[in-house]
This record gives sequence, C-alpha cells and structure tokens, in this order.
Amino acid sequence: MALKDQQLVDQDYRYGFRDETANYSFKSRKGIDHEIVEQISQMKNEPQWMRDFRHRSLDIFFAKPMPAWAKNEVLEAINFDDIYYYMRASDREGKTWEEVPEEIKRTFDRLGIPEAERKFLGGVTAQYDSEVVYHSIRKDLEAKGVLFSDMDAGLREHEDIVREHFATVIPPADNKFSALNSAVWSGGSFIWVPPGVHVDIPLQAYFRINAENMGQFERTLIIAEPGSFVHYIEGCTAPTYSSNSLHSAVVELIAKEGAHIRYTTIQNWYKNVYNLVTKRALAQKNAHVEWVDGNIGSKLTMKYPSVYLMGEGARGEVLSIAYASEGQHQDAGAKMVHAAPNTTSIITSKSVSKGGGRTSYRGLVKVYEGCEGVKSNVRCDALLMDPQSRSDTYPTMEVDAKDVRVEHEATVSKVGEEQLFYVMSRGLTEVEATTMIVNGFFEPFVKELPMEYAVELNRLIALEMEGSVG
Amino acid sequence: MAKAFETARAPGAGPSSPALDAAAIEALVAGEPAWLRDIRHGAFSRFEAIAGPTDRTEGWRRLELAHADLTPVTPETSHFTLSVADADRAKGVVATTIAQALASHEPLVREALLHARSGRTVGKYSALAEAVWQGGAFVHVPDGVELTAPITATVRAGTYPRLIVAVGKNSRAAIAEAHHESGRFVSGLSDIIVGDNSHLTYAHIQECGTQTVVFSHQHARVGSGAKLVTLNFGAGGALAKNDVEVELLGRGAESDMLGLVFARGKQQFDYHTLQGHRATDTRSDLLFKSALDDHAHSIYTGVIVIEKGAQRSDAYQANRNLLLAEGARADTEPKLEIEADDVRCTHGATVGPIDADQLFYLASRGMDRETASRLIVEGFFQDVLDKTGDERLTQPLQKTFAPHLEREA
Repeated sequence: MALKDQQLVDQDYRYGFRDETANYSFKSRKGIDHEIVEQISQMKNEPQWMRDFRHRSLDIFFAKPMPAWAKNEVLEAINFDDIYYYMRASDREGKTWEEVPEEIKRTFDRLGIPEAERKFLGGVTAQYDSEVVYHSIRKDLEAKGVLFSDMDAGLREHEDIVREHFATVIPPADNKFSALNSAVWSGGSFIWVPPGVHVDIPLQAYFRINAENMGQFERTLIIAEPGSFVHYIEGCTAPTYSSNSLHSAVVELIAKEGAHIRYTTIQNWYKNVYNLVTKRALAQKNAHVEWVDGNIGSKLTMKYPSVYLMGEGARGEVLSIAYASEGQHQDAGAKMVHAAPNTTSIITSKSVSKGGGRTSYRGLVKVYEGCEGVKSNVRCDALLMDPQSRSDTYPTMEVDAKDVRVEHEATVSKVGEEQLFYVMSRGLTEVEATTMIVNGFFEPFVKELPMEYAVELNRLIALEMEGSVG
Repeated sequence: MAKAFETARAPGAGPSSPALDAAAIEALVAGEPAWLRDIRHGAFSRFEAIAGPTDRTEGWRRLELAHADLTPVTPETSHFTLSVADADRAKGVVATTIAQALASHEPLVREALLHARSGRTVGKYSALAEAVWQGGAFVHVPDGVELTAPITATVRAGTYPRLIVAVGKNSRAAIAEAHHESGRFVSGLSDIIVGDNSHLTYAHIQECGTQTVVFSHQHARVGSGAKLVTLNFGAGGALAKNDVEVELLGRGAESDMLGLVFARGKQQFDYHTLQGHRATDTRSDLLFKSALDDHAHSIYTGVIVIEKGAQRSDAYQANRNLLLAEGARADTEPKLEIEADDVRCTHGATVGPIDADQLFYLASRGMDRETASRLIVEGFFQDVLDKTGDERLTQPLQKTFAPHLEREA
C-alpha cells in the first residue's frame, strides 16, 4: 500500500520536479561561519547595523542549544555544515515578466503564477531560492501608498521603517532557529500598510526551494498602521530531493491600533524538508490578527504561530490544519499571550494522521496578572486513519488573572463507522466516502481560503486519501 | 467494631540514619530479600542521577522554589494506623507491615514493588523514597471477598511512608489513605494492584501541615475487567507534588480518577496524572478540580497514553479550576499521546472565576455573597464526590471537606 501511495504521489504531485541549478549566479560554500555571514551582507550591500545584527545573531545561534522540550532525534540529525546558506539565481530582479530568465519562468509556469496574475491576484512576489526575481505590484496598491516588496528591497528603500520594526517581535535570541535566520536571512516579504488603508486583494508570494541542500531563510515583516487591513498569502511547494533541506523562516507581524492582519499559509514542502519556522504577531489596542495555517508537506514541521495581545481589546485567532503521512511529523500549534485586559483568542486545530504519520498539537495560552476580562477558547480535533499513526496533544494554559475564561477541548478519534456507512449507503466507494469525510473535517479551514487554494487543497487531500483504504 | 491495628517498627532499621549514601542503603537492606536490595540501590542511583530541580527544569519550572527547602530528611520508619472491620479480617483480609508481609506474602509484595515504578515519571524524590522507605503498611484483600466496611490507613509517623494495596480477583473493596504529617519534608509511595474483575475505590487524603513539602507517588495496575476509582484530596502542604499513575493492563480494565484541591495562602499544588491504556477495550475517565484562594497556585499536567494495539480505548480527561482571588494562579496542561486509531479520546480544561450569573441568581434569592459563594464552590466539588459512587467512603470524607469549604468561601 505504501508503494502505491508513493507512485500516486510521484505521478500526480505537480510540483515534485526540479530545474537544473547550474545557472546560479552566486552560491556560497556549504556551512556557516562569520565569513559566510560577512559575504552575504556584502553581496547585499547592507547598512552596518544589519551587518552587526547578523554577526551578533550568529553568535547566539552557536551558543543556543536545540530546544530541550522537542526531544526530537529528527532535529538532531540536521547537519548545519552540509547546507548552503545563500544562493542567488540571477543577478538582478526582473521588473517585467519578459526580463525573468527563461528557466525560472518555466518553473513559475508550472506553478501557475502568470495565470494567477491574470486572475488579478494583486502583487505577486515570486521567490526563486534566496532572492526575489520577479515582483510586481498592481498600480492601485501603489496609489494607496502600500509598500510591498521583498525584504532586501524593503531594507534598501525603506530603511527607517525596517530598522524601527525589524526583530522587535522575534529577537534573534528567541530560539536557535530564529537566531540562524537572523544571521543568514535572505528574501521574504516586506509589507507596510498606511493608516486606514484597506487592501482588498490578498497579497501573495510563491516560494520555492530549488537546489539540493539549499537552505531557505526568508524573513517577512508586515506592518499594519492603525485602522488598516491586509491579507497576505504564503504558499509553498518544493521539488523532490534526495537529501534533506532546511527551511527556517522568521515572520513578524505588527498590527497597530485597530488594524487587522490575516496571514494565510499553505505549507506543502516535499517530504524531505525540515520546516522550522518562527511566526509571531503583536496586536496592539483593538487590533485583530488571524493566522490561517495549513501544513500538508515537509518531513518535520515545527511551527507555532503566536499572537501577543499587547493592547486592550486585541483579538487573536489561529485556524490550523495538519496532515501527516508516512515519514512525516507535523509538530504544529499556536500560542496566545494575553498581556492586556479584555483580550480574546480562539485557536482551532485539526489534524489527520495516516500511514504511520504523526501529528502533534503544541500550544500555549498565557494570561498575565491583572489582565481581567480575558476570554480564550482552544479546540483541537484529530483523526487517526490507521493503527500505525500517532496523534499527540500538548496544550498548556497558564492563568495568573482571576476574571478570565480559558477553555480547552480536544478529541482524537478515527473516521466514524456510522459516518462511513451512511455515506457509502448513498452509493460512494469507501475511498470516496473517506475523502469526503476528511474534506468535511477540514472544511472550517478550507472555507477560509481563497477559491484557487481551496480547490487545490481539496485536490491534494483527495490525492493523499487514495490508497488509504483497503 | 473496627479494631485499630498498629504497624510494628521494621526490624533492623533505626529511626535515624545519619547520611544518605549507598552505605546507608546497605544498612537498610539487612534481612531483606536480594530483589528488594536491587530495587533500593537502583532507585538510589536514579535519585543521585537526577539533578536537583531549578526554575528551568521541566516539571518544576512553574513552581516557586525560592522558599521551599527540598533537602531530603533523614529516613524515619513509617507507621500506619490500619483500621479493618473484624468481619473483614475474618474473611481473610490482611493488614500488616510490609516487613511482616515480606515473610507471609512475598510474591505479592514483590509483584507490587517490582512493577511499582514502571510508570513514566519517577521524580527525584519518589526515587529517593523508593530507596530509603522503612516500615510501611500492606493491605491484602483475597480473591472473592466483598468488604463490609472501608479500610482506613492513617500515617502516624515516618518521613517516607509506603502503602501497598493488593486486591485479588473478583473482590470488592474501598480504602482511604490519610496523611497528616507536619514535618519539613515527606515523600510517600502508594502501590495498588487490582486483580481481574475486582472493584477498588481508593482515596488519598492529604492534609499535611501547611509548612510541609509533600511528595506523593501513587501507582496502580488494573487487571482485566477490573475497575479502580481513585480520589485525590489535597488541602495540606506548602508545596505538594503528586504523581498519580494508573495503568490499565487487562482487557476491559476501567479507571475513574478524581481529584479535589482546596488551596489558599501561598500553597502550591502540582498534580501529574497518567491514564495508561495498555490493553484493548479499556476505559478511563478523569476529573480534577481545584478551588484556589489568596495566592495559591495549582499546576495540573496530565497525559492520556494509548499504546499501539490498545484498540477500542475510551478516555476522557478534564481539569477545572476555580479562581477565588486576584492573586490565585492555575496552570493546566492536559496532554494526549495516541498510537491506536480505533479510540475515542477527549479532554478539556477550564480556568475561570465563580460565574457571575450564578452569584446573581443566588443573590436575587436573598442570599448573601459569602453563602452564595460557598454553595457554588460546594456544587463545584459535589459532582466529583458523586462520581466516586461509594457513599460509605465519601460520607466520612464529606466531613473532612466541610471545614475546607467554609474556609474557601
């Protein structure tokens, strides 16, 4: 059955391909040290403060141990000396589609980017390995004063804004991987939304890892000024590799007073990628931050999107799904830190384990002293598809204030016999019925996605469910 | 009717051994069988191997350790007052010291002690207790016996008290273990075996002194078709760290795990629970509730483990915390680790104050705030007591709770 699965994936996994990468215009040597960091900073011609920041971060990375709570032999297997930390595919960014190199265009064609553009999906930042090579912002965004570029350009063109906010949400010392990212970051998105501006169309960036043993350390910073709204979509697909790839992003969101940020991720790295990501948002007074987070791919994902509710009336939401099949461990979760009164949060997590896969929910709800009127609700549901798979739930609630309402609920079960029987009695095969039930299980997540993503996700689930029965 | 029975001092062990080292252990084991000597030395090595806790040690980091003196005290022989109905003694119920039992029921004692720490969380101080315990009590209910009255086992003295409860097959029993120690430090062990198709209700009453550092490790093994109901009542101790572990080892084994914590002042209660499903068709249901006043702090970490192959397991876990004062704190971490697919597993946790609507309702009936609060707290706990399903055990317990309820209101 496992073999059949693999064949299905190989046949139909649309993004499971790779382009030759001999044309890289620059490739650092493998491994990590101060020399490499200096090289990266020089190549990018960065200001001194950023160069110092990178070196300082590298020292922190060297000094920090692996997280002790993870106890993950998979994590220990990462060989940091066998990874390229910086690579550039072409010498400059293409301003128009015609200027984008042919080979990269082919990759994007297969990802459907031009098509997506035709569907006027807004500014597209397409990231090919470490550097952004194609980037367009629709004129109406520019007219509204919205800044949307890759992080490197953001630093060059809007140094003041970047310097004021960069690493204020996730300092390098937060954890070993945020320190690594801080030292070698490259690419990612920079978004600044002026006060009161409502960005109607979701902003998107496509990411790819395209060289063997190639690390991708993008850095995203989104700042929503008071009263503004922005929806950012990050979708990941990665080609097939024979050895492991490391992906370690840092994403910082700042929602100022009354602002609303929604950040949607579909993570579908191929099953050899370590996806060790730090994502955190600050929500100031009456701000609203939503993380919509889908984890389908990768070998190991460790990702706990957080919202620090710093101002009264702030609201945080995480809606996440995880899917783990053979050889995969999705260690995902969410954190809500209530540091102001009358803040509210909702975490909804859904996971499916199949074929020996393992899903873990790891979360935290923290209420600081004096934060009265806090309400928090956490709900985790897990489906186990077969006896080989595993599901864990590790929620933590720390409550130091009295007049609060903190609730957590979780269930773990298999697809109900009665549900299956009911659907099959309507003439569906067991596979179709199971797929339908799993799709229904993920429904609250899928319905939050833009149409193209929803369709693609349903297709992926259908594909994954093939061969899960019998 | 009930006759008090006092355990005798364990042979060859004085009340005070000067230093804690391997030689001291060797002095304890004189006259004991070799397997027990091995257990003691193994446990002592574990005690030494585990580093002393700091505020960064997992399992300890949420506790305020600045004022807690964790230096182990000198082992002193523990003595229990055991009360067993005459009628039950006549049915063959044995209640004696562990030393006596080693002579008369060695295989049973061995079974209890060998597997006792097979659980997953043998803390430093439980390992120490396992190395240095002396005295202790042994209660055995033979096959096919239904007790006429609950047995009580009250600790009279000792720093590392140990109680073994071994219930045979097709029996029905209830036992309450009570702690009122008021020294600086106490680390107790309770080992429970429930034979196939038996039913045991076990209550652990902890009303130690408010200056005492209390450790308790309770470990139970439940056979096929058997049911164990445990009730942990916590009101004493400056810092009380408890492990309550139940392993469902036989097909169809069941466990209800209940907990009630009344905390005030700067008391810290830390409960860790394990619902270990190691066989098919097993069922467990856990409900731990705490009411926290003043600057009290409750930490609950519980895990449901469903092992591979333990199909058709059904497990539930709930932790509810009532915060009665501004400075009170509750941390809760209910965990699930599931490796079988045909299971039903749910858990829930809540932290909150007394419901304002409930208070308002009672106030609108002319009740003063204090009485209304007390009634609500009483109600909060009542369903835990009801769930024990054993009135003969809970009736006297209700008397124990009453002053705490008054106090909390």
